[in-house]
Amino acid sequence: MSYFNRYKNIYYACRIVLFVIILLTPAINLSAQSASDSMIMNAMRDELYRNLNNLDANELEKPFFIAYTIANARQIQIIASLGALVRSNELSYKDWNVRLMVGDYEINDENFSSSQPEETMFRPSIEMPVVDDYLGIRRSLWLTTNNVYYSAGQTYKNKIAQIEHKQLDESDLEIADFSYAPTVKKYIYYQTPGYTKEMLEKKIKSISGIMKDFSEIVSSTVALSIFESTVYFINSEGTEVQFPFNITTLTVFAETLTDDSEKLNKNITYTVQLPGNLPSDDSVKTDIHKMIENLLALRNAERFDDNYYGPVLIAGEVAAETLEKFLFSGSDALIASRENLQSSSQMNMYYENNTNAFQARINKPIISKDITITAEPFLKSYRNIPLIGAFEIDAEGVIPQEQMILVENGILKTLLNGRTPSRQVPESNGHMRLTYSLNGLNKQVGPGVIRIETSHPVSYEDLKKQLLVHAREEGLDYAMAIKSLDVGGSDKPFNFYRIDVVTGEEKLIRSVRLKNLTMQSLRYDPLFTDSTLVHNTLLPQNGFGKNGLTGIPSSFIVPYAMLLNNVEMEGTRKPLTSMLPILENPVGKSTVSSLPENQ
Amino acid sequence: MRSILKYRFYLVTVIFLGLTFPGLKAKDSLVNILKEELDREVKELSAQNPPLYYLDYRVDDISSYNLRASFGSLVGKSNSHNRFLTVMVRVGDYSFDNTHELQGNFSMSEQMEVLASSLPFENEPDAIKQILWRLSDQAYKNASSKYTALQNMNLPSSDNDNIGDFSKEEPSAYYDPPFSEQELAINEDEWSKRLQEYTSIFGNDSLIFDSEASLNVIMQRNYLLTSEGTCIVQNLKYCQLQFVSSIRHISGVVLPVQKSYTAFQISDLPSHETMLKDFHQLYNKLLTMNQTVIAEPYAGPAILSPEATGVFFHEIFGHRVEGHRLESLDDGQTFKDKLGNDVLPEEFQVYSDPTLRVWNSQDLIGAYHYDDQGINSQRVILVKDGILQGFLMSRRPTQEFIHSNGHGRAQPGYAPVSRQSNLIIESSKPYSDDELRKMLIKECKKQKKEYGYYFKEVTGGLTFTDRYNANVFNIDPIEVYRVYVDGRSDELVSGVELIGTPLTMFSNIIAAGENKEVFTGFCGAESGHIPVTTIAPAVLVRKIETQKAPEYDSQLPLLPNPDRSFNRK
Repeated sequence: MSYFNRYKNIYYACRIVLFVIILLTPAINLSAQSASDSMIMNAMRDELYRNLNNLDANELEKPFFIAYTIANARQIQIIASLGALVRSNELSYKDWNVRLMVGDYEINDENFSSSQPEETMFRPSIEMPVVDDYLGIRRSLWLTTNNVYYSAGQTYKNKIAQIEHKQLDESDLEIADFSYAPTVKKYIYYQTPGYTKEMLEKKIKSISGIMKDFSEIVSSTVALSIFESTVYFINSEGTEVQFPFNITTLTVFAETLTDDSEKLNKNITYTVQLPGNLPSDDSVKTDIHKMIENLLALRNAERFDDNYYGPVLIAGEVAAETLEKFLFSGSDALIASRENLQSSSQMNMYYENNTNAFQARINKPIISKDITITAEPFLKSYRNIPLIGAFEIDAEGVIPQEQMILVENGILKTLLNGRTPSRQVPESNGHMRLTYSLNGLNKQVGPGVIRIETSHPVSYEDLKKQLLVHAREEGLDYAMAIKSLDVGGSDKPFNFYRIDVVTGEEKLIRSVRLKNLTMQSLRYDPLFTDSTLVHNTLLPQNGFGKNGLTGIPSSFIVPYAMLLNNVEMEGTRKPLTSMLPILENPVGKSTVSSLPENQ
Repeated sequence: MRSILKYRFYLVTVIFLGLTFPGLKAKDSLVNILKEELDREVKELSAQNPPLYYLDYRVDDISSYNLRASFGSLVGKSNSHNRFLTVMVRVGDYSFDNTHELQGNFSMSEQMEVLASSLPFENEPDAIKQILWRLSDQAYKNASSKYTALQNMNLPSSDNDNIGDFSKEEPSAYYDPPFSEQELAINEDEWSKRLQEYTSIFGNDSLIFDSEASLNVIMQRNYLLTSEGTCIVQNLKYCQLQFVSSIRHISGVVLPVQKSYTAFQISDLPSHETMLKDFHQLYNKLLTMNQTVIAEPYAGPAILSPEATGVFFHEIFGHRVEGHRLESLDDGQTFKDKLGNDVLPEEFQVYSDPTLRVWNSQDLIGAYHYDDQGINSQRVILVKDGILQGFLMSRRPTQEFIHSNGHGRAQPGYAPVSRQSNLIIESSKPYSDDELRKMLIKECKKQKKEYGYYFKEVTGGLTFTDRYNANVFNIDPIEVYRVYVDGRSDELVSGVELIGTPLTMFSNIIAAGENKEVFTGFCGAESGHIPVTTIAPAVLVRKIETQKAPEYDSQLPLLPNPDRSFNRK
């Protein structure tokens, strides 16, 4: 049973986050354990063992496992538009998590869903202090542990009762509920970089100000989000770890309207660990110019009003995003999942529809035999590009393998997993990751650094030639391509192009929608380039609803481009009513001074 | 549903730490920026078909500061600065426009016609004007579409046809200077220590479940510019120290207590010594609550304390004299036809006075210079000598009152409707506390009751005024006593809610006390949450009704608090 807590002081969502920065401080400064580190660890240790040794409600079994996680966090969010600050917030807090299990490694309170009524007893909890406060930390852990214990104990009792009454499938009991893991003591110290919010504000304002040059842009923002934390983890098996968890995103957003009233918008997101890792102001501004030029070109581009079914060339960041989505999003992904034991047939039906189809396909082909996929969590950079997904220890205190093959020549070998066993992956391979969300930190099994390779790469030129060959073979007049804009950043704008099968001429088009791009596309003889790219991103929690701002820090090293077959596209609908503004954009036409006039 | 609560639900969360509010100075080129864009929009949009005839920009520049402590630990510290833009467009004319109310819209017509957005808090003309432009354009399109639809509808004729949708008023101008450096200063160290000390008092008993004190400082600078020429810039600052705690009753039920202090200036909050004494008293009171009787439902005589009376009048009367409800076909219209009629005993006077900023040395946060439609605040007599005299009016006209009396109010992002401000209840024939008590006992004997009730402290209440729900009210007391007719000591009881219906309750009011007190709260209704107060005496009611309060069963933690030895187990 696990409980994540974080009280009210959460920023409200800034949907569009941008990034910037620069000259700020060095990335990670290593230093010795501070007095604050020791105090927090001592508080966690003292409270953990007090609870482990003494928690004993008459009607419930004693706990056999307790783990605490505390993230000592600082968040900064800055949003600017046209050179003015819209939001600038800074917040410090402690996020905390208590995992407590009743039973044993074989059968405990986890992995069980009951339709039985649950108690509605009020149990108090206390917020974690924002400052270093040994007793305050213990108080929060004390009450949360107490509450999780009652809940876990009751769940375990219900589960055992269901087993004794043979209301559960016995085959499900063959899988242990929790796997053993080696005891680890590892401390990675981190010193806060020395930037200030004011320095960052100046950067964001400066970057957002360049949008003033474009009266065609009807809306724009630049948003910076920084989450900086030291994570402390301790469990009753003796594992104690401490490591930094930092995420910075900078998002630039711009929107325009076409003469036929279609809204066109683009954004670039830069995802790095610390503000100091962001590209220079000038680089970002150059990227923004390119993005806006692209938007302006799109305004004059032809609408796509056809239906297309055939080969598609996908190049740049969008290729990486497509592969990331195929392999690590949704219910069918290279991530192990444990189906909960159900106490009712109705719940069984629900969960059966939500199981990962890959689970039953270990040692079977799942994609083209040319493709090999490897997890390399220790890889900190690739061709001098920092990989934000790199990690040395996971959120359960497990050290992952340096290299682990997930798919070899199209054959599924294993899945990423944490300490909750699945039928096919009974032990942790160290991939319980911390997930950044607007509500604080969560934990979820997910990728760190993933390399996707092909055994038969081709050059980009050959890939394009093959695209035209395939299209001609299918009797098409044109082929389609999706290409990311050539800008920096981790999530980039992309465009659709129509390519004449005879001349090879590429024409930018707009108003296109992909219809059936799924994992299956990787089975129909895809082709990949020999060149590669790095894609740093925040993989959405549970694989759904990617926004580039929250999720698991992940890095993908993938072919630069790929050719997929049997892809369907169609035109989008025209707006029914005019969205064109009645008055012209006022930007650049003001006679009012921006200087304050207090008097 | 409308409700008043002593503790505010914050719309905006915090952020940023510091000793002063940054950015609150130097911001009034904003007026010029707003005006330039407003003029441009009005010129073009009033030439469209259908024409815009009214446009306003409301900008609420809000800085908030928050400190929180729990059981002696500092658990929250934050500071934020935000600006909110609310745009209102009216298409058609004063007599019939896009806000024309249709039955079934639950008085929400105006709420559908405003658009809101965050606005840069720095006065960069391009950045601000682009947002004004986008929202004005969208608001006009929404309004013209709605207006066209209304014009083409076969609307049923009603009494409302000749009233009009928006009153014609003279434009206003008002300007408060920006907040001074002195007003922006907060001694964070001092207040952190104070909050920690207050909350640590409550850590000495294992039965006390929570103890959270928060200091909130709100500094709000509100701008209103209209196409009619109104230009208002006014400040509102207030500080609140709020405290919540709860204890586990011997039955397992959780019993809460709350306390709050409010002032315009942080320096005007009570001294540390005064608060410390109050919190020690509250702690002792809390300890006595854990063995009180959980009361059964009751109907009979009761005295409502000044605080309880304030909430009682706010719910059963105040919300029912908000003018916009009187023409709504969805509203219960409790007092619509009662103008000039007796509604209370003849010694009762009730008025609303947003011009009153301080009463009996207490700051009143229901005060303002101009309402959110730019109308000068006015004292409005609602009941004189027991006879209903008037209603609280926004610019939505009624049959009897075609002009606003300065009570159009709204939270940022909402369209103003008629709302309460400082509601004052008085009696020209007041009784002392002793006399009221004797009258209560006499009434109990007359009704053959063993005891009556004294509602001493309340947290808030709620009521429904529409036709689709029972027109009931509900008040949440936290300190209630039984007053026995046989001379026994008063007995503190728990688990009680005061309920009833408005007209019956009003007809049962017998008398009022001589000592008035202030209740400060935040009232929530269709135009959002707004600060309000009541100033009221105690009242004796012939018959009230109570029901059991919701119960939340609880269990003590298995292990003792890690840092304290308990005096109870």
